Amino acid sequence: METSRPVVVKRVPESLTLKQARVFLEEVRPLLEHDRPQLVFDLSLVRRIDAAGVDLLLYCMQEAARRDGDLKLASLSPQAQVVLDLTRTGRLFEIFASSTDAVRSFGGYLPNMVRQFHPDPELDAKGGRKAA
Amino acid sequence: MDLGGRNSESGSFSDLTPASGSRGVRALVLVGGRPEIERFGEFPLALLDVLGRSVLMRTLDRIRSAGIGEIAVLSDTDPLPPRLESASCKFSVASPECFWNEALQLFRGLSLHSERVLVIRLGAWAEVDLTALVNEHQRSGAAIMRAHSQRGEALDVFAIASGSQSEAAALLRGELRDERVSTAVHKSYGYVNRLMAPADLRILTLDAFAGECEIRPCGRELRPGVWIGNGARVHRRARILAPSFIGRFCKVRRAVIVTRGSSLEHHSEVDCATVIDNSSVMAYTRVGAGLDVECSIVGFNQVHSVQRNATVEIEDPHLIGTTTAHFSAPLRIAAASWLFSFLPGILRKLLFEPRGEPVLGNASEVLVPSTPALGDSSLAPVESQTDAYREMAETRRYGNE
Repeated sequence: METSRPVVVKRVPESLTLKQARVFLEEVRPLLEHDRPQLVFDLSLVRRIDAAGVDLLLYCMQEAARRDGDLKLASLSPQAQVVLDLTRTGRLFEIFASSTDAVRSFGGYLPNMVRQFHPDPELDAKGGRKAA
Repeated sequence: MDLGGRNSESGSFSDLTPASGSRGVRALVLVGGRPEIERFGEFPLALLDVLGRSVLMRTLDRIRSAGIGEIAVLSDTDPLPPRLESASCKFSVASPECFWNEALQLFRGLSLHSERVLVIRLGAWAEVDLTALVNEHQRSGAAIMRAHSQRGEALDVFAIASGSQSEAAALLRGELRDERVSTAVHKSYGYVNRLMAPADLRILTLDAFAGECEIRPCGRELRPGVWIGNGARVHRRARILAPSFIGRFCKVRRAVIVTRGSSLEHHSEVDCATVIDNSSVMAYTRVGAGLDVECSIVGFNQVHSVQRNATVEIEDPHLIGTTTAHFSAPLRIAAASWLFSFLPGILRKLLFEPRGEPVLGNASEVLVPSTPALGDSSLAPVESQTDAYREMAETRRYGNE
């Protein structure tokens, strides 16, 4: 039976340089080790980020993808956006304006799938979408 | 950023010849004075290079071309190492707290031996016809005359009669913003860029490339629209697309693309495979490898994105670093030790190892590696693999499903 898995929203600290990136990685490592992790990193506080910070984001995305999960970014501060643009890594992530949007995006496809395989009889009676 | 004839001693100008230059006019150029604006990092925009020469130096050139020989420059920021060239100007630095008092002292010193003093605050790059301003000031007999742009904006360019000490004091103590000081208006029809924010520096660069202002790139025009300064080194695999400017002693490495009105100021360095698109790289700045610098101003360990209107401080030398004009002693020692450690290996290779091209097998042997997995005949042939991939593409059509 399919159950909805939790989406974890994690706020990234103001500075994401080498030292802080290591601390942050230790915090998120247990989340990455779940089966099919669904993570959202909120980067609204980030003011300073360097290559180590970008590397951390890529590592987390890679680890999540390896376990068939996903990592999405939300509420990017202008500083974070500038660095992601500079390092050409922004295009690798799904980026959302807010954490809520990012969380919703994880479940967005599920109802369609459910409807496709378990059509709603009431909807069909009203002449709505036909069952597959 | 370069300043000619810098003199760290601020103070009197009694050593200047009386009534020097044409018509007994001297000039006082103020750089900064507004700590909250007109800056990139901690430096006033007027001290930063635009196509090989700073706004300050270009302003000094304009003043000299108007026949004014004696110039005093007061800055609120200690500039980067100056270019060692002679210039008939005194340069002094004052802290922001006492900047305007120092400016007043300098004005008094200059006005002792001249009929009038031009006071120019940078600030803005304003192509005011200084000769016309002086002539109109002389004709009008006004104490202070201020230049206004074509659109009616007041510019920080003043002609002040030497006898009007009290008005000048009120003007300078009010940081040139006191509306109570009455000034006659001189209409200027030249180009004006107010240089309020780093984005204006990009606009000035692009306008200079487009020929809309008097600023011209300092360097040789190798191809139409591509200027290169002396001593610049560009890798043959780098692409420089017009209009672009590569300053003196710049290094542009392999696979770099410089395009869309970008400028690399002197002693800057761009590492492999980086794209510099519609951006300015400040002097003594190193841009790391594989980066995408777009619509930005890079320098002093900072990146200012014009599109996002955001400045990021980056202390990671892999991304943004600094270069030096001269090798320091530790760097020389490190380079020499590296060379000596490298030489024996090279000599051994040259003397003892056999030369000649490596022999390759035929194409099929090279392209189809004989790994145990691929060598197994029970594996699916290439066509069926293609079918499998087609199914996979079908599966992936629905994205997250």
